[in-house]
Amino acid sequence: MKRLELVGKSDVRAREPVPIGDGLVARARAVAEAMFATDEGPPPPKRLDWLEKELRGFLGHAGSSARFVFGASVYAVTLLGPLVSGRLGGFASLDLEARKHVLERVEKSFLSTPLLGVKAILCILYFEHPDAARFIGANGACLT
Amino acid sequence: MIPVQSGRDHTERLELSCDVVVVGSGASGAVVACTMAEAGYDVLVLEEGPFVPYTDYGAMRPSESLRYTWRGAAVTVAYGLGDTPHINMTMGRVVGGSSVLTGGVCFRVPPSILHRWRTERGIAEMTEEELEPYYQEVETAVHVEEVPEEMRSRSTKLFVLGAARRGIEMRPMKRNTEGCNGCGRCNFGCPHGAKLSVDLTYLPRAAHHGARILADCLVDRVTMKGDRAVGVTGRLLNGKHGKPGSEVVVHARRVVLAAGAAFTPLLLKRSGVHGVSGQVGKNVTVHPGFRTIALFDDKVEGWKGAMQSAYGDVHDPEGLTLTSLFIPPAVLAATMPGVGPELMRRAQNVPYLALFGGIIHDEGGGRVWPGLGREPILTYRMARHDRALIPALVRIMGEAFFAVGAKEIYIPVLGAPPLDADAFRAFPFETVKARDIECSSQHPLGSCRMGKTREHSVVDPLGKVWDTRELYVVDGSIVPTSLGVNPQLTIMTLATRIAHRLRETPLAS
Ligand SMILES: Cc1cc2nc3c(=O)[nH]c(=O)nc-3n(C[C@H](O)[C@H](O)[C@H](O)COP(=O)(O)OP(=O)(O)OC[C@H]3O[C@@H](n4cnc5c(N)ncnc54)[C@H](O)[C@@H]3O)c2cc1C
Ligand code: SF4
Repeated sequence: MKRLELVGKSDVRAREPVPIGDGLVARARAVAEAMFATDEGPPPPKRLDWLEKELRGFLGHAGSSARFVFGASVYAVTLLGPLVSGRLGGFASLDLEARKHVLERVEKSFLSTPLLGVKAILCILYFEHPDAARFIGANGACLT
Repeated sequence: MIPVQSGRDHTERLELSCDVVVVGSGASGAVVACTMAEAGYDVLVLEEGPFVPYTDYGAMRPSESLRYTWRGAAVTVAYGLGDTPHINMTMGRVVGGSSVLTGGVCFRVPPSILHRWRTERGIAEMTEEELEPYYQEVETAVHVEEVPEEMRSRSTKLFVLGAARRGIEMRPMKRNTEGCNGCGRCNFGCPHGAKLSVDLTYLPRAAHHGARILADCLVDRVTMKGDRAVGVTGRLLNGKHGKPGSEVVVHARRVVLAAGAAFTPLLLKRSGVHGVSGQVGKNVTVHPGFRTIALFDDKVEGWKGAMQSAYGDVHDPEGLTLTSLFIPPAVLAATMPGVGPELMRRAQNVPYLALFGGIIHDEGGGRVWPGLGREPILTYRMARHDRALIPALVRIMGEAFFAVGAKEIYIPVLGAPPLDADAFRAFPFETVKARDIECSSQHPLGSCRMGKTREHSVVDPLGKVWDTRELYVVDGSIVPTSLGVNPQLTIMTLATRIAHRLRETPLAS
């Protein structure tokens, strides 16, 4: 059967993403550091750098309403989360244990829906890193 | 080579003429474009999304498919009103539309639903005999076949056995595939060309017969001259970062809207076509969907095998369909409750997890509203009867898994811990707030429903918008009621039926 082919050069993967604000990415990174901490401590900084890059690419292509929903959810979790769990201070300035505690409380509060949105996107991206994929026992077979 | 053009490769205003312009290249638009092009009409297909050759999917991780081919990277919500969960409502935005992202599942409309269309909606011609030739035509074109048992994933096999032990008969599904190897990534585009979505079937045929396909082109409105549609206007997505840029003006003798149930009503309203019924954008049904995940002692690796392969109807209570599914490991890990070490320990269980889903045959209550920007706002108010089915559905799925030795069940309730059998049976589902329930939908339908009278519907039984000329709607928005089963085959069949009439109806001069 004949297949469709594109005339011209508009390969989607070569398209420039919309730039994402550093403030939003820094907040998302602070959430991710606590979210993906194991008993051994937070994920390696390089993994978080990779996640940051992926997040920028993901949101940069996701469309404005997705960016709005994700951004609003991150701000809701990081601004209201500490209040919900009785902490003072900005989320990112809390130590790792305190951030984990905040997220645990948030998951059981009225902020659970925004947290679900943030968690879903961060998890999908994080566990696509080859080392993280191995950690959860995914062998990549479903990608071929 | 059969060419597709991208609006991003044009830098200036574009003015085009054709016999028939089709807005949207998904399941329904592709069918109409193909039928009309093969009948010798000059057809132009305009699609907002990009073109992605199927061979590229193999190189994309799921999150890459999400960002390039899913509308809003799947961060799309129908807001629950009243005692209704918010719904993650996903759609395709790519040449081939949502058809590219399906699990391939194909169902004919159940006879009981056709009966409702005739008796409640008065559409007397909707009989099995009437639809038979159109179903056959579509099923041949996209190669609908039964999924053999050996293709089932272990996740599905476990559930099917458990369901049988609970007295529920599960049956093999049919899918539009040929040469499927069970790699299980259908929802992110089939990298093997085995799922015969419309970008591999109807659209190449349409283009082979001269249809032009323009991707990255967003239609804003239909141009009306009195009651007659004479074209469309829109923007090429050639602005900075793919934003709407140059104007595109199309002169056409017939306009066919196939932008999907979330967008066609907006196009009609923006074009000043409201109809006397006041029904444009109302009556949306979604098949609210819920998943249940089970933890087993031994490996399941549910991503190995056809993603969707078995289904079963529940008869007590009525109104539920159980349907197999699976999601890639990274997405599955995202559904685990907890944070930090607790989340990471649970994520390590991913290979030991089985998953099953169920949908509710809903009564409607959804609505499409114009948003501030390009995207609509979707709201959904669940009927009380449908809301009451959620706990029943989760209980049935959980019990099926416990019947085959599941250790724990993850219920679709935000923040809920995994439950062993005793905790599961004692869990007060009925008192869970709707907002805490995880719900998803891939089947928005009915926002421009078909009917027999202009007072109660938006289009007539042949897709023509009431009180207009040369303006047709063919997508999921015309489906008169919830189907209770996956809709793509029925949408394509209704579109085929309309296209057959359109090719026989002379164009306005
Ligand atoms: C993840 C997923 C899995 C699914 N799995 C199944 C399954 O297994 N079986 C099944 O039966 N169904 C399934 N469905 C549902 C099925 O794909 C849809 O019901 C069907 O494709 C709808 O057809 P349509 O023509 O109405 O719209 P679509 O196929 O969604 O096509 C509409 C197209 O119009 C384009 N468009 C919208 N607005 C504009 C505009 N203004 N200008 C230009 N273009 C525009 C969109 O980008 C889109 O490409 C699934 C859907 C999804 C999202
Ligand atoms: S399971 Fe089959 S249809 Fe689905 S992506 Fe793999 S080869 Fe394609």
